[in-house]
Amino acid sequence: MKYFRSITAAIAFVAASAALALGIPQIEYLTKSDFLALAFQQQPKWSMLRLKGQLKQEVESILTHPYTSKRLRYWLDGQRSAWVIDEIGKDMPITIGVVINAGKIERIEILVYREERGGEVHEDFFTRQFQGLTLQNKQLSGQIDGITGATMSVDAVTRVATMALHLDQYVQNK
Amino acid sequence: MKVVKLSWVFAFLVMQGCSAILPDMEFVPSDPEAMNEWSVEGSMVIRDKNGSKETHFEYKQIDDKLELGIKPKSPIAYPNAVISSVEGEDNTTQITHVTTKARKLAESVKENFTMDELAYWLRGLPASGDASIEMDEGKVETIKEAGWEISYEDYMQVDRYYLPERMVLEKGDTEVEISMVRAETGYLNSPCPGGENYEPEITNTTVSTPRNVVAELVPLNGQAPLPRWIDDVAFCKQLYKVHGKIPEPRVGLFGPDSMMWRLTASVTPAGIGAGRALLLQTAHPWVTAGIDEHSIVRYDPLERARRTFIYISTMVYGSMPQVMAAANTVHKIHNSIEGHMPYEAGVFKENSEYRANEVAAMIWVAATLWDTIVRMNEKLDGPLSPDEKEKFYEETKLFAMLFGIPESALPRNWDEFVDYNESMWMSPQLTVTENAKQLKEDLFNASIWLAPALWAQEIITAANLPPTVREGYDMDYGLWEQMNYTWLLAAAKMYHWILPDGMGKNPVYHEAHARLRGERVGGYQQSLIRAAGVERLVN
Repeated sequence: MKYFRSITAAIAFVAASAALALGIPQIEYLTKSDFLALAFQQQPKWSMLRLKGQLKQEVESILTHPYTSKRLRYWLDGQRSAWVIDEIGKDMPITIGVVINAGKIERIEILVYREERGGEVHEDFFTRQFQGLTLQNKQLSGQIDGITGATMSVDAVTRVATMALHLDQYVQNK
Repeated sequence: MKVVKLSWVFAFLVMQGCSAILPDMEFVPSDPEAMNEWSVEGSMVIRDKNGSKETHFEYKQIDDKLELGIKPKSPIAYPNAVISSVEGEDNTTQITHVTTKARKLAESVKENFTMDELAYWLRGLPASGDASIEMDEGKVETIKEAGWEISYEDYMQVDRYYLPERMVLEKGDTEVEISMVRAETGYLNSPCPGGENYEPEITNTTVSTPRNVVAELVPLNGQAPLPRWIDDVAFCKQLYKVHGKIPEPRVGLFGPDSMMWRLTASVTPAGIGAGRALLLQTAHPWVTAGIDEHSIVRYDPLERARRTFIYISTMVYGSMPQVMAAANTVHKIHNSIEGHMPYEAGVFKENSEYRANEVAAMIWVAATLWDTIVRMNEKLDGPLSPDEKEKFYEETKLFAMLFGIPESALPRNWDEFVDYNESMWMSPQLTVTENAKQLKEDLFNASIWLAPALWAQEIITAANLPPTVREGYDMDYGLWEQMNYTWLLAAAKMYHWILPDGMGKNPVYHEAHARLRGERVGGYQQSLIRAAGVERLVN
């Protein structure tokens, strides 16, 4: 009975400790409002872009999969626009912010990363590669070097960068 | 005796209560804008100059189709009136009704809002670019739009979104209080992403000689079974078959009358059987190779256990859309687990290809669960009847289909299933590699804090493993272990007996029952679910 009590108490304690130790592997590197503060000296009011018809098809062709959202909110101030887009990496969405100025990527930031692997895409050495890239034939104008073990996340960020450039071009020409 | 029982319950309550004292979960929601198949259920009270009206409702969007079901009597009844519309085309709004009371309620809703506005406001989103929004800590606090002021008072975490749980809408003399109970965030219309249509074809069936499925899975010549990979199309076809068999999405795959819910509800059988199932799985060299190269089991076993718990529980207890979401996620994860055997192990040659989405390997992994859960239930509650085992086994076939495994690849009945398990235990397909032994050592010596529980788990595992596999792992099962097993099993039985349903049954089981009643699960059960890192799982 002595052993039983000890073991039982230990099991219950362990169960409680185990529960406390569990965490969710998602990291918010930057809030949306902090990202927008970095993008604009004075934050403009958001605008709404309806994704339908040919524009939706073009977005889906860039992403290489159906895009479920029917509209997208964005921020536009002159030639500068900011986009916050969720894209699946492996099995969870990565929230990616892109700032475009005069048709070139000025800044790309990983706002939220929700996978346990591949989080290196938020590092400067990776995101810097996008700076200054433009859209050429619906593709990025430069090559993006991958990260070992983060291929799916790298691809997701690259797709979103291309999509943001395409949408910026669309709203600037509207 | 009552005092003893109450003391134990109290002690357990205190300990379980610790799991409820959790730090705030780090949860960063995705944008609900991206949902194109979703629904919310709850109740609304409309107060205006004509008085007050109250009803339960369900709002559903599938692509452009919007539908609001009015259910004045019960949250789980079929709607007595439905307002339907096409997104962006308010002039298509129409009401169909069964009762006059429901029609009046529907008209009252239609007078106050457009269906488009509700589609966005119910997700905490502005309906147009003219809205002004006030945020608080990343959540929408107020939306002012179309003359309405919408205050969001509380949010609920559903899947990877925060959706409004309580909101108040005010415009002039009219006030509408909306309280949400639950939501679905996808897979309402199709069990596969993108809505590919793989409806099963109806063909003329011809009677053919029954195949020897067990011999296909465990070839008599001692070779490995022929690999059969499950691609996206094969997977989706099986999901369509399962999807079509279930008349009521709210109930899910099995439901409260199933053997599956009965045998998996109690925490004790699963708790004491976990080690056996795991070691039987890792005795398959593909599983160990997959873990070595792709899994976080070695360096974060608790996180791995958490995810397994979430996916398996959702498949067993979830509503049909939740089941389909879990199945798709697991299939996608499995798709990325492939490689080449780094060494020769039993029938598997060095450098031969392995994949997680392979029929025989997946059948084995699932078989270890079902064989173990039946064995442990029988240890604690006495033998199950042959009919009960047969019913349970038939239900496990539905579970197998969630992984894309065709029914024809499975042992046909319980007897064949037993034959399959016993054949596997003796087969060179199960070969305990050095890596598997190391994995066992890592798991049973994971932490000094876990030492007593893991010691008990190791004894119980050794007692219940087939001798060939136990010897493969170099596990002792002599007199000392047998003696300890005797009292540990007695202790487990006592635990199983003492604990009232509220504590002894899986919290997800309680959550599923709450869903069937159209209610939220109670605070205590929810606190236990939060221990798995989510606010709600199958509500």
